[in-house]
Amino acid sequence: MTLELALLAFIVANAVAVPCGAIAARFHQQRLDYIATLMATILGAVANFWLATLLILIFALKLRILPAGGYVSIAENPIRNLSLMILPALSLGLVSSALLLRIMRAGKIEVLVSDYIRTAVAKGAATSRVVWHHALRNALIPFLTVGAVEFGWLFGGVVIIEDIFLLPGVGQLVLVGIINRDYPILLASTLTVTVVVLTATCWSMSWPASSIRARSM
Amino acid sequence: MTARAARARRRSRAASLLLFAWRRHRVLFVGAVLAIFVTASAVFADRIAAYSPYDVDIANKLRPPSTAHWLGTDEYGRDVLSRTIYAARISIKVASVAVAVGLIGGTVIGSVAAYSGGVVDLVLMRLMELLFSFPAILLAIVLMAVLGTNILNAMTAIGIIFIPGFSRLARAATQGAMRQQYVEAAYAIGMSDLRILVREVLPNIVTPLIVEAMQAFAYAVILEASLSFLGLGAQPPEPSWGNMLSSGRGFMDQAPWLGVVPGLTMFVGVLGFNLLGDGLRDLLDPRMRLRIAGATMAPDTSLAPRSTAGEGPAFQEAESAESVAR
Repeated sequence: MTLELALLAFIVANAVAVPCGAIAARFHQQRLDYIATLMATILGAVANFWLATLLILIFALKLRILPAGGYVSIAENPIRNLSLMILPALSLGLVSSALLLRIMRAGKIEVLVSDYIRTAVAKGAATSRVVWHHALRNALIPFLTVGAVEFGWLFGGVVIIEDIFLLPGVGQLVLVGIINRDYPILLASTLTVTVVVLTATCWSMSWPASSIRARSM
Repeated sequence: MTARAARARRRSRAASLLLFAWRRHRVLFVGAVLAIFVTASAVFADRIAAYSPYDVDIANKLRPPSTAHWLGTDEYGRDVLSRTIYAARISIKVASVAVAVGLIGGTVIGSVAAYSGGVVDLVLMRLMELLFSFPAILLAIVLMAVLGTNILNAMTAIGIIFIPGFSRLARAATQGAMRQQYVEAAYAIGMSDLRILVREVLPNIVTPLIVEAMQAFAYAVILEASLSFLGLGAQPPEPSWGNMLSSGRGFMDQAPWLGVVPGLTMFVGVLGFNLLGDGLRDLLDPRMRLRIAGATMAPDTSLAPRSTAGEGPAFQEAESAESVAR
């Protein structure tokens, strides 16, 4: 359950950060760049539980198009499951996308001024091909490193979000463990989260080793 | 010169200074204004707030914003604006103490580790990595569970979370400073280790730590609110942005302002301290000052070499923000 939420939130974060960061870098110091940077600054200052509250207020109470909370297993009813997961995933993912967007932008700007991009332009490759094909791949390297850590962090951030949306996941277990002073439960749930986070972090550290750039160095 | 002319001149000088700050350091300026706004309302809460944050008025419960209660009332008829203002006090208090704990603890551990090297360095840094491996909010929750739920423990727990980040930064900065000749010279004239650390190294590593402290401050505000939201921080009836949002959740369809106002204030405060940190970094980081205005990046318009100065720090900035967040 928690893994599903974290994965969805991660997808949201990437879906926002990659295109926005890339566009911001492409139009560096132009209006679109400022809009994207402003967006990152604003999203970076929002607490995820307040965003969750606002989303519930708008989508569940005012527009009444999405449920405010609860959980149905994905095996039981995939569509209902997804509609229940959208708001929690958005509130977790959007806040995380702020940092990823900054990294993506900085990484891509760095790549766009490098020599091989100039070579590609000189060879007459189309601008769009240079920007999206040649540059994006290498800009993704620092991004992936941080992204993996970010995923681990998302996994830790679920505690509050699960509490708000009444989702029965690891985060709920942590809270139940604390409220009932049930230390074995607390220990087990914390250990689970920490193992996932450490795995993600280790993966992020091993990533540069496997990347082409690191190998060629 | 008359006293009036002197005053007018002073005023115009102050105005031109403000204008200069706005033009040259816009991020810093906006951040400072927002941060000062929130901090001032916290400090002068008892003078600004029209009502006591604890005054219960059941007859006027859940009233929408009006002239008497600008931001409405909550489920016990308490004034939301007054409670929000008083809540800033708790946030600022917790964040200040927590950042102080993290800053002092981290600086001591980091600089001692770097200065001693060897086994001390190894043991201290592995300990820090141990703390680092927990997600921040989870570590805070577990620490609160162990220590017990009150504000003092919230400050301690959040402070402990910040120690690894600061210690890493302090260690890296100390290692850099120790390669300088003035440290070697201090050693040569027979200064004690403690004296070298405090008098020679510390003043030279303080800049990145201050920038980091601003970012940590913003994050501490969010962490405190998160803990209070879960009922682990400030205990009702004491107002905190976190527990106001939490109790407002139950009345969201009747009183949406309960879910909006505290969060919005928190957002303004966090944004302010974030921008203040960014602005300070731009001001203090000499590499940022080299940025050439108008260096645009458009691959299709020109093939001339372009300046990348300023982009390196941008990446660093994102990384340093991240190291605080972990």
